Amino acid sequence: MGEMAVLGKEGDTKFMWDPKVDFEVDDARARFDKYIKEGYLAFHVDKEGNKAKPMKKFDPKAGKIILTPAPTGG
Amino acid sequence: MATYNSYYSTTDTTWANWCGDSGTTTATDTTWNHWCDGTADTTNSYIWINWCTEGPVVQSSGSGNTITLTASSPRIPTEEERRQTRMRERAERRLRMNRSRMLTRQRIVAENKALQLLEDLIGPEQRKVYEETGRLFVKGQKYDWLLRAGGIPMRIERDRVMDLCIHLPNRHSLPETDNIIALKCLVEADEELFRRTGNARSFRNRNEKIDLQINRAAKAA
Repeated sequence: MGEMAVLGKEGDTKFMWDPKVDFEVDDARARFDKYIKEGYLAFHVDKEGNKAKPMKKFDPKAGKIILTPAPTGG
Repeated sequence: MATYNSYYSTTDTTWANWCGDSGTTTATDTTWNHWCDGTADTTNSYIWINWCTEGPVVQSSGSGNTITLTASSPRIPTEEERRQTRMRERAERRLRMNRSRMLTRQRIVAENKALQLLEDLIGPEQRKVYEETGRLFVKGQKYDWLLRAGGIPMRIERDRVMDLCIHLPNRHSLPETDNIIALKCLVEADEELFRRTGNARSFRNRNEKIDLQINRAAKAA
């Protein structure tokens, strides 16, 4: 299962999809593209403690994705 | 007691507004008639009632182009009115407190979700240290960083540290740990962009207190 966590006011909102089910993948891709268009940054992360990697395009096999608003300088 | 005359009161802003800025304030104006020709017509008027019940009692005498207004001292609310005011204020206070409690609960729930997400990334041991110290050690491509909950990230160098001001744009409306997650991801994925985005603050020499924070967080990483 793929999982996308979008950071927001109420904590992260999770979207999940099965890479083998086309309409779930399409839905996840549409959400991903929407957030990227809004200026969010996407990162591919895993549970093995590996470093986060930047994502420009949606990959249904990415496993876990975190979408965050782009940080700004203070 | 004050005496107003429609002719010299045309220069008054309020009066000018009432008369539609026309400068014509003769007794044939409807508003003027109501105000001048006794209270018989105006006792049921909303404006008249408000003037009489909310503020000082105003009595008028005279007619035509001249009206005399006599203002008495402010009316003292009755015991029943005071009781109702107290009840209304108490209800409003309760509402504000409930709203504040609800927001606090929502923030706690959101922060717990953020902590769980962070734990998915760093494991339970490092989460424990983060919760205790509010510090998270992150390795970038070039530098080591100490992310601080409620504070700004610190770039670690051999003998000194540098504060870099960078955070999520709507940081205060998001759980604090979400800010940490976002910064951790950016440091790891694109440290150059992280450094370019942040505003560098002054360098500080490392001291015992800073070393303690760094060592504790780094040990858990």
